[in-house]
Amino acid sequence: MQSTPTPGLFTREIPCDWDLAAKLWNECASFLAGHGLGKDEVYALTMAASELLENAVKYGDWERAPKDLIALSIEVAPRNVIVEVQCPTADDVRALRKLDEQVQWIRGFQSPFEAYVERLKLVSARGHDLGESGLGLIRIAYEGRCVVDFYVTSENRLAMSAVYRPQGMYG
Amino acid sequence: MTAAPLSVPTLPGVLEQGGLKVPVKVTRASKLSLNVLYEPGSGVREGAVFERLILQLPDREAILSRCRIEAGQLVFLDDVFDCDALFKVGRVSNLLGFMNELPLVLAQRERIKPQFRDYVAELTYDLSVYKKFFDEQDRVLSKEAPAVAAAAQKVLLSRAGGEFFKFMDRRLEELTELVDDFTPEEHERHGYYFRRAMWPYLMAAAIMQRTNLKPRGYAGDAVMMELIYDNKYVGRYAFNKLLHKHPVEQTAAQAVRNRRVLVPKMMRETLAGSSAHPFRILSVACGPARELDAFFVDDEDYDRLKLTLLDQDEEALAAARGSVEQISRRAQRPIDVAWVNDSVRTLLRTRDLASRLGRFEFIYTMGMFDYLTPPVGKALLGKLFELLTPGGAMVIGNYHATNPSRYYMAYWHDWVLYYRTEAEMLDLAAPLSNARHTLTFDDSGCQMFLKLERP
Repeated sequence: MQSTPTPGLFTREIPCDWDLAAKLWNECASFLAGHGLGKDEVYALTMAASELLENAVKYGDWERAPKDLIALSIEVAPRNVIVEVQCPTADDVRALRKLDEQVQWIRGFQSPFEAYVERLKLVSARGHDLGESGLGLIRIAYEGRCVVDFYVTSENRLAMSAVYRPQGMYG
Repeated sequence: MTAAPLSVPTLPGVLEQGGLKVPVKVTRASKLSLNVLYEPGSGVREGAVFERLILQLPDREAILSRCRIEAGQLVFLDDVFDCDALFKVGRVSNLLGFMNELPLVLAQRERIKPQFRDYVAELTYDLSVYKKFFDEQDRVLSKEAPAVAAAAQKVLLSRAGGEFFKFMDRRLEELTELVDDFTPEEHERHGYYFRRAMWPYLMAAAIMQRTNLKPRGYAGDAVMMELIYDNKYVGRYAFNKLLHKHPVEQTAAQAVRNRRVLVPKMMRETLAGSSAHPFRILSVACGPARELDAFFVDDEDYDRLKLTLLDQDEEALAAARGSVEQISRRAQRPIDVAWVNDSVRTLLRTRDLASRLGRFEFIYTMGMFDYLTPPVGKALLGKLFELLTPGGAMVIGNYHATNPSRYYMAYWHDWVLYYRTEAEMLDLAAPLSNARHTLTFDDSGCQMFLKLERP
């Protein structure tokens, strides 16, 4: 699943919509395929984009900013592909800290499969609600083979990203 | 039936067997059992088995499987419920729940390359031989007086330890040859297999235990950094000491010690060219801040340097506080320092960061960008650059993609960094058109420093 992609940028700004991920699937996939990504990579990265979009719809602070748009960007560079989704977020320090811990926890495993297994243990033992399980982010890491990361902009927008490196972390 | 003290958390429920329904109240007896309180004459006797216990949790009803009254307590016969979770978080936690996923884990070994499997088998065999040898020496030494034992162990560690280190070096070279052309997916799969097979050995070395277990939730915490700075034998037994010492002598660990010397040097270069008083310094992800020792050289430094130390981890800030206090005590001079407990990922949301943190003549961050992806790295770099005063400098450390210890760290330590090439490092600063930048390396060649100066 290694390729030599050609640089390019795909951006969309769209209102919050529950069907967003499904609507954008084909556009994302054809952009990635058109920039030299292999079939498996196209699927994995489109899945990552969909997960990030779904998170934005589910967890964005749409009460505070109902008219804000979700911003999706997919940047294909020679050594990596960056999928980023921005949405409004509440200034909730506890929730952001929890997300930070979750992201660092997932990234703490050399094998995302291990993160997946460990999270399944917790979910099956504690009966987490799926929403708080973090399995969506783990799926991006495990199935999407991406590094998950985020930051909060000074406009209180959560910028969540998935970075894919065709040559891997040691390439 | 005895009444539970009022302070003991109690849950109401019903024990069911056939048509029999017995109202009960339960409290925690142990992690895996419950005290059960019922009305006299309800038909409950020692040894009675019930089909289920229905508990009324604060937000819902929970059904727990078959259980029996044993020595006045309720024990479960088909599942292992965590009774702490019931009372602490109001959740039914079945410790056997993960059993269904075990085939998934076991299946991982089916896709392991035969050469890798052979490598791990030989490695574990060899390590067990070494361990037995060193354990036998420990046993002999345990019969000696402490001073004699310590002297003899010193000889053992240097003589036999040297051979052990050569063995480890050879095995690491073989690992590199085996995995160097792996795909990212193969690295992950084989790394997971490696750690499952090697787990008892990984737990024997203090540093590997910490990197694998990550008690602070992330790799590279303050304690890990201190273990690397100290570069000592750690552990009670010779084998454990050696298995700890070998990794802390590797190139990547030496780079950590190198930057402890290089960062103060870079700070002093900026300090020498600056007339600022105070000369304000910001350390982002400061960790134990051992490098501060070399910041304070002469008396004037105590008057002039003003520190702001930022870390997401309170434990790291506590370690840094220890470092600052030690320097201050030694010189008998106070040090002007501000502490900030925040994560960079959330810190970026602060619109006017200068109002919160101030402006600085020198900003540095080591061991931070190794965990940041390009979007977060660029955002942070831009925000930190805004905090620099004219003439100020910022230094960012990042391990290079060719770090020779990268497979040792990934496979043995479960420690993966975001490695960068020179081009990727420079790309982080690309949006900062007014920054003068230079890129340098430490002597090990695996630690890169991006220096940005504000004209």
